[in-house]
Amino acid sequence: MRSFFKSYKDILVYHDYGPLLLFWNIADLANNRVLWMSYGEALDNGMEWAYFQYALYFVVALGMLFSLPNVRSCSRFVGAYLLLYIFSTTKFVVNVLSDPEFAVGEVGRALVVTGVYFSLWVWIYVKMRVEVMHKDIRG
Amino acid sequence: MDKPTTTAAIVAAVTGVFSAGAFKFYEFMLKQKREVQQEEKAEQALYRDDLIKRVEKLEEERDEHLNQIMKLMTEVTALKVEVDYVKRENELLKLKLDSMRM
Repeated sequence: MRSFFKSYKDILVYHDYGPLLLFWNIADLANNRVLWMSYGEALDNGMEWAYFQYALYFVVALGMLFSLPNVRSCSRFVGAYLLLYIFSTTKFVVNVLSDPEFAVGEVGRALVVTGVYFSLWVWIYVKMRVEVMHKDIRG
Repeated sequence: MDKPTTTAAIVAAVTGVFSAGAFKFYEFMLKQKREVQQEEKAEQALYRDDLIKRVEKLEEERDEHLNQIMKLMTEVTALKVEVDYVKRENELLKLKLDSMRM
């Protein structure tokens, strides 16, 4: 049983993030609302802020995709993506806590899924930064 | 900016600053560890170089001593031959002396 869990730990510690990041990044770009919704539609629905946020996500994800072969640059885009993620999640949580009407629907499920995705991005970011650090130290 | 946006911006900024600090600290720790390892390596290299020099010196001395032993052995062999010759001559002289007495 212990070795079973250790194998999961080994996957997290030793396996590479590259292919996962590539596919996840493409899926993220394809899933971005900027591609499927015009700014006019967003304005009509009162979602201009959200649209701006999605546009930022789109730009950062594009940067990530094109800088994938360069770990240093890519880690900066992943860092920016994480900051955006923290920003939007915090905003969502503050909205949920301050406005009971906002908290309709499956807030718990959304937060759990967000937490898992957040862990994924943190794992990728930490792996990249550690790789960059080791490269810097070795010279 | 409304309250949730401001809060979110502050939280994101603080997280960014703290994580950057944490990574800087980790980098500093890694560098220190690396420096210690390099110092240990340098010390080991010094010790190894000293050992190599000592071995070289000892080998030179050994070769010198081997040559001396070879020379001494040659001289001993020559002396042995000479002693044998002197012994034989002595025997002959003794025999001659005995025959003269008789």
